[in-house]
Amino acid sequence: MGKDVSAIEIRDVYKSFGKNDVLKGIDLKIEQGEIFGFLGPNGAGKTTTIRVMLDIFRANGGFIEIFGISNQKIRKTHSLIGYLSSDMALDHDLTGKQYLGYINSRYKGEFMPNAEVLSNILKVKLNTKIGKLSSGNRQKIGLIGALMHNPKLLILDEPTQGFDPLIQQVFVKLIKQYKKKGGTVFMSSHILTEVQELCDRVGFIKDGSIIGLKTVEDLRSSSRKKVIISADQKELEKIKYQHKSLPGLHYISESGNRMHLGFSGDINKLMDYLSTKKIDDVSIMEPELDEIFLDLYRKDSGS
Amino acid sequence: MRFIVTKIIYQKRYLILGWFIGVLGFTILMMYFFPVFKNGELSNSLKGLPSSIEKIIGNKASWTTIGGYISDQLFALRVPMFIIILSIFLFNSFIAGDEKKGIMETQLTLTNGRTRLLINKVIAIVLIVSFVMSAVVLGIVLGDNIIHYHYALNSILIICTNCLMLCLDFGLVAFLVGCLFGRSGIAIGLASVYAFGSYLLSSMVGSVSYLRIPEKLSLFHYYQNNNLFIAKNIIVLSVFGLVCLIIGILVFNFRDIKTNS
Repeated sequence: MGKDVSAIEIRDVYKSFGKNDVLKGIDLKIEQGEIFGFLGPNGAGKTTTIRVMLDIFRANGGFIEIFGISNQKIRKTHSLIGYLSSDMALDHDLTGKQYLGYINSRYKGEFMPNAEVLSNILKVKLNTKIGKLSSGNRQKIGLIGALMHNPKLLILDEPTQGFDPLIQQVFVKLIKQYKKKGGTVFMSSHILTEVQELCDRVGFIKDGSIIGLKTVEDLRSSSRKKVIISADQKELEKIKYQHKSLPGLHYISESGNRMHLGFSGDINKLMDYLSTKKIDDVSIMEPELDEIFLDLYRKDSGS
Repeated sequence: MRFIVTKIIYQKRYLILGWFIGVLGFTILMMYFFPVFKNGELSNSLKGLPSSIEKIIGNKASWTTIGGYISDQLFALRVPMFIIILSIFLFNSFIAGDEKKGIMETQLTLTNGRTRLLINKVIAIVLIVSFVMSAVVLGIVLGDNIIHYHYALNSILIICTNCLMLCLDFGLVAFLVGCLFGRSGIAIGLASVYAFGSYLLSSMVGSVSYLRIPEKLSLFHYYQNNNLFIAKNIIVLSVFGLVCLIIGILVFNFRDIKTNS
């Protein structure tokens, strides 16, 4: 398994359930050491993509390789993967320790010390039956199970659902540590701050097709910045009617002596433009990922 | 908890213990009744019953010997009925049941291949059902000692093996249906209907001549509830079970796993 092999390669993958086409030719390449965020609305095909990757669902077309190995060679590929989903079913009649002991035996190693360390970090009792734990604590057991055998690839499907904000922070730290050790992460999430904080690159899926694939930085720089201008009413009126003279500048709204604008393009041109106006104050803000995300979906649906 | 088989047995330990004690107690109780049957107190009150009913309650003439009594009163219906229920329940629980709960998905995200996982589950269930069947052997031996009769251990083992094969076959029907559809209700329903239909066909065939050909589809046709070891019947039951197992595994390998969301 060379360093030049992609961690995940998905080529032209189709999946349908009866007449319902859920994945329509998915193409993705995730490099080793990368944290990839997989975003999309409910029913877009995120979980189906993950289940096809794990060979839980069989694709109708295309192929998937995990570190250069076909995803259908489960025993080889799954030994490299740690998986956690938001609704993972665990054996309720086992204690956390027994369940993790079983996982330990599946990966043929001595990973129980790792499990103990992780259980201390995540503050979860391993001697309690899983069925008696809260959903958040069950999720923690699932996370320990995914991380304990030092996998090369982590596949996470909305992993922090059920975690309180403190544990979400611990989760972010654990994933950052995992990346430092050279691990690769494929993560679907609805929590955009989490994606923003962790991911190097994001892919957007809608109706079973990838509609965007960018680094988080590219996404921010190519997206509209928020510009708030304070000036007197006369000047604001002028800007409102002349703003189209600067390509990329969009009028959004106005309240009192403040005007909200959006700008995408070279920031220097914006500064030059603003310097010709009599303004009292200006703030230029980076867009949040959730705004970019919503923007992308609006553009794609033509609204 | 190193192996799938030991994990399954551990998870079902209370169920196994409960069934073992229950079946053991039932068998000892039935053995305890033998002197009542042998002395003819019951057979006098059952005079003049039609042969089809006799097939269900057992042949009165055979009640005079311990072998005939065990064959008719234990192995004609009661023991197979209990063990068939257990077998169908377990095969359903660990295939379609686990799929319904999402446990199958979780297990397959580990390093378990589909075929390997299914074979391990089948081994665990065969061990559990065999262990519960051993309660019948123990019950007969203990019962023999209580009522001071003797029935050869060799004969007990043959009759129990015949019964075990029949019961596992009905369980494997639930396994096959579970592998085909991944639906617990369909698996239990079809396996139970087949078991009940089979019994009905085989018990009616004595008095309804046109059932002779369809009755060959009943697994009870190949079941010896006595100490005879008929190779042809054993082969049919073995082949039936193997075919269910192989088709089930093949189908399971090519379909999507049902998930709990």
